[in-house]
Amino acid sequence: MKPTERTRQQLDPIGSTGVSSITVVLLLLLIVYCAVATLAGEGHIRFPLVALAALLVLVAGLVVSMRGASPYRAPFRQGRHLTSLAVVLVAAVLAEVSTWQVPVLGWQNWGPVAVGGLLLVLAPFRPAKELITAGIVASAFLGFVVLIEARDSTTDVPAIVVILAQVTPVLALSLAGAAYSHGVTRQIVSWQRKVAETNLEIVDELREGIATSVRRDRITTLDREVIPFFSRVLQTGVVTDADRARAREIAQSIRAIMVAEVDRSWLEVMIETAGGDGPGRSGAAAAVIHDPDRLAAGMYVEQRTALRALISTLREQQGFTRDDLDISITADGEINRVEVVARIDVGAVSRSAFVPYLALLRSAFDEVEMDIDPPRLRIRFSYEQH
Amino acid sequence: MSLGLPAHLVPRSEDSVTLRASHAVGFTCLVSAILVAVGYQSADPAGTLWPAILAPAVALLSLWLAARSDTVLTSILALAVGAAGMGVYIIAFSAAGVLDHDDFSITLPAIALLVVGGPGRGQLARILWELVGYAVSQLVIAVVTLSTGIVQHFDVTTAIVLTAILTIQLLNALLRSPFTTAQPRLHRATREEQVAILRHRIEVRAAALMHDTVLSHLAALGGSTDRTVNPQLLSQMATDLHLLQGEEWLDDATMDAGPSAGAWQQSPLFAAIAESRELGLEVDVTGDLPAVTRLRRGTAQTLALAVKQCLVNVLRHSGTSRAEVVIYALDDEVSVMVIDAGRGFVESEAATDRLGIRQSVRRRMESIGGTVQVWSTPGRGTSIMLRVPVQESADAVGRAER
Repeated sequence: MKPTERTRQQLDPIGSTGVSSITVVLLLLLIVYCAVATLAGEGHIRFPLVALAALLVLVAGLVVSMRGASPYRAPFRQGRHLTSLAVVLVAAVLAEVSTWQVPVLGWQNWGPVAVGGLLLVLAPFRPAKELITAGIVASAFLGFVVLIEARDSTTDVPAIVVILAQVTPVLALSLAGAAYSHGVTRQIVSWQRKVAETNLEIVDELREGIATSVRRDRITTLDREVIPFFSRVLQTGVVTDADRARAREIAQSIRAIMVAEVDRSWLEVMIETAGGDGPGRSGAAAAVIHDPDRLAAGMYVEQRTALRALISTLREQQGFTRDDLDISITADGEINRVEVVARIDVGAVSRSAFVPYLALLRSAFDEVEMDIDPPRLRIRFSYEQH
Repeated sequence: MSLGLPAHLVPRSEDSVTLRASHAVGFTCLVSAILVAVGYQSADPAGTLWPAILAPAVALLSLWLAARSDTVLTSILALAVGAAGMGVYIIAFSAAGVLDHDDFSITLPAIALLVVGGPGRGQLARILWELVGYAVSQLVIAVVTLSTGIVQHFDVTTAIVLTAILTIQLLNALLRSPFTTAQPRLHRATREEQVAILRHRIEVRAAALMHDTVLSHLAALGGSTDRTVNPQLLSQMATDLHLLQGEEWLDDATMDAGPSAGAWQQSPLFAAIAESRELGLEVDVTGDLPAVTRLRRGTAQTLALAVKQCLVNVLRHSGTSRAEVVIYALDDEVSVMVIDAGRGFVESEAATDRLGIRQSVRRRMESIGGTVQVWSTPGRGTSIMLRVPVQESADAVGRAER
């Protein structure tokens, strides 16, 4: 499990699933703007082919980000950001070259807007620090390019103003992106902290009830055999051969119960208490879960929570019981592979209903895949052994 | 945790965060406006551009005030100061003869007016403030044109920026995540996970206690040869029966109590060793004895029960009646080693008593974030190393779960 970065997408994978469509629309609008700006600034263009190339490279760079924004590819990592940014920077330089030494000091100068716009649109996906750093480096680079251009320029505009015209949109938009990323992640983290505190309080209130129920389970076992036996031995202070055999017999049965309980994984406990029409409590987990090497134990809390949420969603689908579920966990070298197969009424449930859980699983596990082959929904993912 | 804000809190959060982001744009534009004026001034030292340097600086201050306090008054002040500053900027630039070839500089103070924002929640309030900012900026241009005769062409850039801001807001409102049920479900799953962890901790404790008491006595009874039961065993059985039927034995709250007070003699480990001596084992204790008092009470108790079980195993299985306990202390860890020179065993083959080491020692130690290492060679004795962190972290507990 890779460490979580301080981005909205990674801290709140479910809430960020809607962001992908906003990102795609905004990046498409950015392309439209750049194309219109090129046409409107036609009079300034010295090398039309370079201007065209600039637009094509821009589209390529922004498509990299559009693809990355999809929840099916979450999370959006640094490598993709830098690739996309580098390509868009090339586009901005080409745009500048197409009007080489013709000052374009207005909205038709689209290069810096494209670079800044990309950094703004990536705000839900990348941490604030990275966006600021990228903004500063990109603006320094573009400033340097126009500085070379302005060296031999004959216009009245001072070089510093030409550089500022290039740098300001990049800095303004990347700072806006960073402010968004920082603000949003701060709110999510503080909400999560609040939830964790409330959870602790609630769990604390349940503590006594849980202890009582565990105690009741044990006492039931004890009441049946041990307490009558001990009481008798205590009363008489004598052990016969029959008593010794009985003691060994009781010890055997208690040990068997304890071994079974100790061996149960969190996943089995969850399935057993889930309810269904199939085998009873003790047999339910065996029918649903195939985990011969007891690999469920190796999941982190975060991973268990994600799987819990997925299973509870499946269970809430109409007519779905745990008997419609199969979970298998197998070891493949250092990697544990999980496959969840559910038989659901696909007519009633669309693929998109599972998108938030897919995003959630993606944040906790690796190699997450989902396919629907009615009436079967199959989700596969993996995690490293630790 | 991967939990996001609940659906009803999202619009408000988006509101405050996007306002902050647009303020960042405003600040950058005003700083840039100052630098542009400085640039023109240094290119033409004879020109009078200082008002164009001062005006955005004052506007910057008023925008900062509006961003900080978020009241109608500070917003109106920022709009008024920004508008006046923009007027001064245009006039100063026009007087210096800059305006003919620069579409960029004039738009900087105008954009700063768009993003002032103001109090009032919701999309509509945000849009209204932006439209007011835009109207003010265009009004400034009109007034300057009328009063000074400086002709301005239509300010395309500011109009584009306004369109962009409105588009982002519209998309945000229209395409917000439609999955309103997923977030509460995840919320519930995080809580269930916490409950499961707690329940598991209590079950581990219950199982270990059952093992140490009931199973231990049954084993003693089953393996006894005398017809009369050893009085010590009888009294231990009576005490344990009473304990098991009582209410306190699973009181998990003791796990979270602070560091255990008192010297070595008051520590649970001391008591556990004393009990083992009563059972007939000779125990040598060496090392950093007071170190165990640095442990939290629950941790110290669990460690003591695990050590006790190791000592009971020595007595029961090793064929020797001598054991050595050595305590080592590091800054963040206390380790206890239990050594005997008995017959030893192979852990994986010790099937008949597989709960002993696994349940009473290993699980127990894991439940407090500790670890167990066993070195045993048949015929050469056994060493068991129990290690616990001094500050048990919640994470360690979480990972130690099944």
